[in-house]
Amino acid sequence: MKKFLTAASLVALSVSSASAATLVWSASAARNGFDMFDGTDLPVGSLVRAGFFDISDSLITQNSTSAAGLTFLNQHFTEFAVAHIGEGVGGNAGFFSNTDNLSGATATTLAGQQIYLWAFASVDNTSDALSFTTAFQTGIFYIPLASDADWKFPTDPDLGSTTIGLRDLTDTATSTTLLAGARLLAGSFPGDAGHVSSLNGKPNFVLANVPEPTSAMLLGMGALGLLARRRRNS
Amino acid sequence: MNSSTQFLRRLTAAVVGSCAALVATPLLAQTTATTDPVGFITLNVAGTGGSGSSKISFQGFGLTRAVEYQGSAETVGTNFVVDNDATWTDNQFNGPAGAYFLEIASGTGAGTTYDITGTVAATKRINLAQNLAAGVANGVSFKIRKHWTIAAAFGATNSAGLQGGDDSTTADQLLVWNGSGYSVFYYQVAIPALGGTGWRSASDTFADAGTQVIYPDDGVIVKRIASAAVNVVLMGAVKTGQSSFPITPGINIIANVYAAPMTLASCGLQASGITGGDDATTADQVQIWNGSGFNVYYYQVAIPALGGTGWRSASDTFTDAGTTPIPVGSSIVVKRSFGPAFDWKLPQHPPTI
Repeated sequence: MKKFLTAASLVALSVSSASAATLVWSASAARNGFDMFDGTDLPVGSLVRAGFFDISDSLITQNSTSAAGLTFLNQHFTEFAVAHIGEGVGGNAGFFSNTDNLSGATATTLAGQQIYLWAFASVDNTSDALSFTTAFQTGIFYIPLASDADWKFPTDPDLGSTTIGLRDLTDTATSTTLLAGARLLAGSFPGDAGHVSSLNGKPNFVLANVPEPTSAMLLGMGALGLLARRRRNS
Repeated sequence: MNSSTQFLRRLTAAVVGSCAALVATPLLAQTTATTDPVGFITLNVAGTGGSGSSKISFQGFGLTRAVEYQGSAETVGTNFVVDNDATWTDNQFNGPAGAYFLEIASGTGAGTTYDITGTVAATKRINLAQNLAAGVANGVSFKIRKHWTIAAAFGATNSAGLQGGDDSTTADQLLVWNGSGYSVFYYQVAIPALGGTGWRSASDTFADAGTQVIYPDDGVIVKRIASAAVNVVLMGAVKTGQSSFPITPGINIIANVYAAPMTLASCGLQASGITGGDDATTADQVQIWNGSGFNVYYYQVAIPALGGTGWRSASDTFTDAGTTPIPVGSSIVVKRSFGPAFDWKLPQHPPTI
């Protein structure tokens, strides 16, 4: 509920309030979502991250096929926001719809940078850290901001907003044809009957297999500093 | 007769035939009849013109909803008022009846507004979500109105004519600043299994967002993806009396709540406590959208040789900018960078009606 300040509360109010850029992002139930490799809609609770990679596409692809590679990728990824499959879409698998605000230095750092979507199929989704460490499939997708200017983080870190969706990688009319500029750095878009949404019948973006992480890797994951899972209120 | 008074009289005259319809909401027999003039304003929502992916316009609701009750509070408490003459019924102004607010209309605290959480018939009491401002005293007069909602302003079925779509990427968006970022809404057109048709939040594409409250001071940014402009007609009551809205550290997007234009000099910001400085980097800023970016203003405090004291543009520190308009139906950004929160007291515009 909005606050209406009184004279008494004005004095006590902190001056440290921060403004924020806004990312509206989705794999909305209207069009393309995420599939696991076997064609199953990506389960509710699965982790999706929006952020910026500071390495080349080829390095991203090379490092998306192993647990150690995912760790390397994480070190080169500045996260803007996280989402979980099922959020904002009536709990439907394969999809999500979020509005996320980011304030402070990270919003400034990311201003104008390319947005990447990074999705995971995981053994354990009880926390974002576990979603990452137990990931057995992953997908990294984006469309270059030169092709779609919405795919950059807001250039005004105080007031800016941008809206992107996974559907931006496919044709506008039917969402069944991959656009020439779409980048699938990990994962695929087969567009076949085995990889369509059970909700809307549209083709989904498919995650690629990642080998199961070793115990040594799990022990080392504590230093990654992933965000704790946020529970969204209904 | 000045231009703002002329405007207001034209505004009132234009809808004299609609007065009865607009005040159709029943008023209690023992209360006074609605006295605020009613009318309509047009919110001009810019289109892309075929260039760029979206076009931004900063809107402000320059009309309120009709007064549904007005009276005087013989007793005020921390977060309630008691009107001994009231004959309201239980929950008449809260709960399933909708979202209502109470505005203090006289004395200390005039113009402050509070969400209503309870209406009690037996005790003739209105309970409020927020504490009354310091100094609000017994005997104060007040008005009760229903909040604007997305559906009330833009139509439950998008009669305003914004572009709807099957998700937030294919529809015009309404962006409302929530203190730390934007809450984003749009008109969704979809089958029930995919979220259904109606107003939705970008954070929940299945739940109805038509009842989302737009607070009196909320600026609403329309991010339009369609090529053509659209004019949204807003019908309501003219806001009279002083208004009072909190300005907090950081970004504030505040509507011109009056059915008349304000200026930087007339709006009361400087008198209310905005921090001035010797240039734009040392002062709070007022940012006014110009269609493609912001014009930035601040209250300069300087000797004449260095530009003098008064409202200035960040791009012309010597020319008085006090007459810069804050148009009807618009909103502005107040960027509070220096100092704590304060209440912005906006004088009635025009001064006489």
